Amino acid sequence: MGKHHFHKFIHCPDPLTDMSLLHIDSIRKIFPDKQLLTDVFITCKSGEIVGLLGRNGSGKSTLLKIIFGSIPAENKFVRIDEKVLKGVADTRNLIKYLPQDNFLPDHTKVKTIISLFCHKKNAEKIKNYSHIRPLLNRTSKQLSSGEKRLIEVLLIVFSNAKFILIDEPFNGIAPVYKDDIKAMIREQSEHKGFIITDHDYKNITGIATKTILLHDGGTKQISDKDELKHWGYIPGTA
Amino acid sequence: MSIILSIWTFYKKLILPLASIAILTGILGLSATGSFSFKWSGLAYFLLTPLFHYFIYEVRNKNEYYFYFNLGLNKPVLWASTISISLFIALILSLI
Repeated sequence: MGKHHFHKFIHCPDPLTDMSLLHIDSIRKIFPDKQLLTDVFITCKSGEIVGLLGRNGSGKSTLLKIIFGSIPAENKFVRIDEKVLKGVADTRNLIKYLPQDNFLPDHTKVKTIISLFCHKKNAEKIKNYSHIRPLLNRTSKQLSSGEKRLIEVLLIVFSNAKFILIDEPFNGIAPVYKDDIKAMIREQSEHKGFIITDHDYKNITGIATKTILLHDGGTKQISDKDELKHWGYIPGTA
Repeated sequence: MSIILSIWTFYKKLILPLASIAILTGILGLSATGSFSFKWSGLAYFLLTPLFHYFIYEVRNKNEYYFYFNLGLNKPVLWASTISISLFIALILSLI
């Protein structure tokens, strides 16, 4: 979809349901050796969990960073309702992004980090989570990478943003926490939209309400497992 | 308020190394001139701020930027805030 079609799709939040729409369009990213993303188009509404799949190097993480505004693109159009987002300063309280690598400041106590990141009600929810309570008075430096990841996922999922971008949330997370996290994402998706990637497609298809495959720089909407086989994402013939 | 707390959390990491160098500069001034030089300490504190900011955040802890990006602070704001806070501290030191 070209830039000149945008005005047909302008979405205003519904005051009754407080529904919002994240509209991502015309994203193009070129690296010196290849064109990674070609005219990518994705929409995500409040209440939706969009699963973003793709082979290694297909541009999933790059796409999320471009949407968030932390890296530039040759072309991009990102809008939430009537607000066009150009950089990270525009995404405050609108989009939160969980990168693949740990990002917590290592000199700050966990309880301070939680209070900085979330509103009081959600901060209390995280602080009272049985796996987090013993870690509250530690600094991030004193945590294992799995513990850091768990805190990061909770901070992002329970943040006050309208849309949440999560890159590999289950990476380094103990299996015992995975179901809890999926349940929390489902619960929080009542008021927020999620775009999630993971290297294991089963983690995604289990919770996604819509699945999109990044293939050859573009997006394909996926309705069943056979389509993933058809596009060569999983082995087998459709 | 949360923006100020976020900027303070970002800046806190620079204080210890900057203060160490500033005190060392003051002590060097003490051995050369016979009195602890707050003026030179302040100047060292300010001039070394970009260097420590670059080394600590751009080289060693690059991914920590995402924490602050998520709080709505971009790189130009973070750079401007560290320079401003350091300038303020350096001015106070030079007035002692």
